[in-house]
Amino acid sequence: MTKLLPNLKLFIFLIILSFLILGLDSLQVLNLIKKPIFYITNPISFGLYQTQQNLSRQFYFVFEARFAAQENKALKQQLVQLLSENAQLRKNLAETESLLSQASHLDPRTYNLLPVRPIGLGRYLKIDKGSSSGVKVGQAAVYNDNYVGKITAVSQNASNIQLLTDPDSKVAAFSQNLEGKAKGVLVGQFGTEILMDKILHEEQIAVSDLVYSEGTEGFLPRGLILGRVSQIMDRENETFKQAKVEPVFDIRDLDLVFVIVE
Amino acid sequence: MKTLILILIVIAFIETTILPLNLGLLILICRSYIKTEDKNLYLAFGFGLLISFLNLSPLGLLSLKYLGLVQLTQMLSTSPLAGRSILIIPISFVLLLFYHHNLQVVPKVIIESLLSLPILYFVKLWEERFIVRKEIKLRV
Repeated sequence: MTKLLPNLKLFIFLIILSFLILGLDSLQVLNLIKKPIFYITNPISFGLYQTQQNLSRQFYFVFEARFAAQENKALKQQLVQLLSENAQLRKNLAETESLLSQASHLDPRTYNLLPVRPIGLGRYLKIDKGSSSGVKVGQAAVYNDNYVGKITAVSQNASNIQLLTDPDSKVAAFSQNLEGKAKGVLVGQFGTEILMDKILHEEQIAVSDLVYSEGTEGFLPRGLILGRVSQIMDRENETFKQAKVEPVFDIRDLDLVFVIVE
Repeated sequence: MKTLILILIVIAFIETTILPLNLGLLILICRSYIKTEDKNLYLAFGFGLLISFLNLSPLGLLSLKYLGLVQLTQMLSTSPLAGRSILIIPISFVLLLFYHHNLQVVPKVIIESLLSLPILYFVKLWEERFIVRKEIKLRV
């Protein structure tokens, strides 16, 4: 029996004692003893609880910080994507506006215009369409009422436009103001300057007059704006007058130019 | 013994404030499983009183439960299979189910019974390596 139930006497004694304590506690006799003990145990329990709360808050912060870092990374990626999308939409909008504007200037029923995107600017303006799109050497590139240049080299999917400022560019032009008009030849200079040469002394030309295309070259419609007179060089001892002409727009601002295919 | 009492007091505060696991009871069960002695019953009684007090339960109620469980463990520890440490897991599982007498806490009981094995090893290590025993006097 002792082997089967070790410490039986003590066990029975403690069981009886437990019942006794249980009975006394249910009669609330032990409240007097419990009250002072609570003064010791309550601060310990409170301290432990507070420590646990602080620790869990710290861990929660670490967890949240990690989550926030991941979220931040994802949002940054999303932002880059949105910015890219936004840029694409703006580009499309600008191109659509250019198309609409172009349609209001050169009648699409008269001219078959091919919209092209500038993809590089050096001596020539490089565009993203070539022979596969019907671009040929000698065709004119325009933007609204303005002449941009002439196609000089064509590959399968890209072409070069010779600008008015190119030294090899020569275009018959005239300027018009209220007093009259002056005819001449627009010759490109190195840099951004264009020179209008072969103007007769008796012809009227003034600063800020607009210069238009004559249209005698065949590939170019008459009346396209070529630039604005910025300076007149009138020397008595020379046969012709000259005028410096500056472009009316910056070629780098263009999102879209149009090649007159037919 | 003093260290064990101190550990049990600390554990009593921990399990009544922040960690709702019966770690103290597990230590008592594991100690009873390793060693059969009257101190286990004293510890069960005292620890039961402390937990009842801290949990605001009727004093003596948990002492009764703990005494019963410890005595049951001591009885089981005398069986021939008791030498196997791994058996502490099913034993503690059954005893804790008795203690809770509620099937809704089975997941908690599973966790506690799984914890009983490392606790058993810890208690074994403690009792074998860190408890100073009386000198053995040899009869010459």
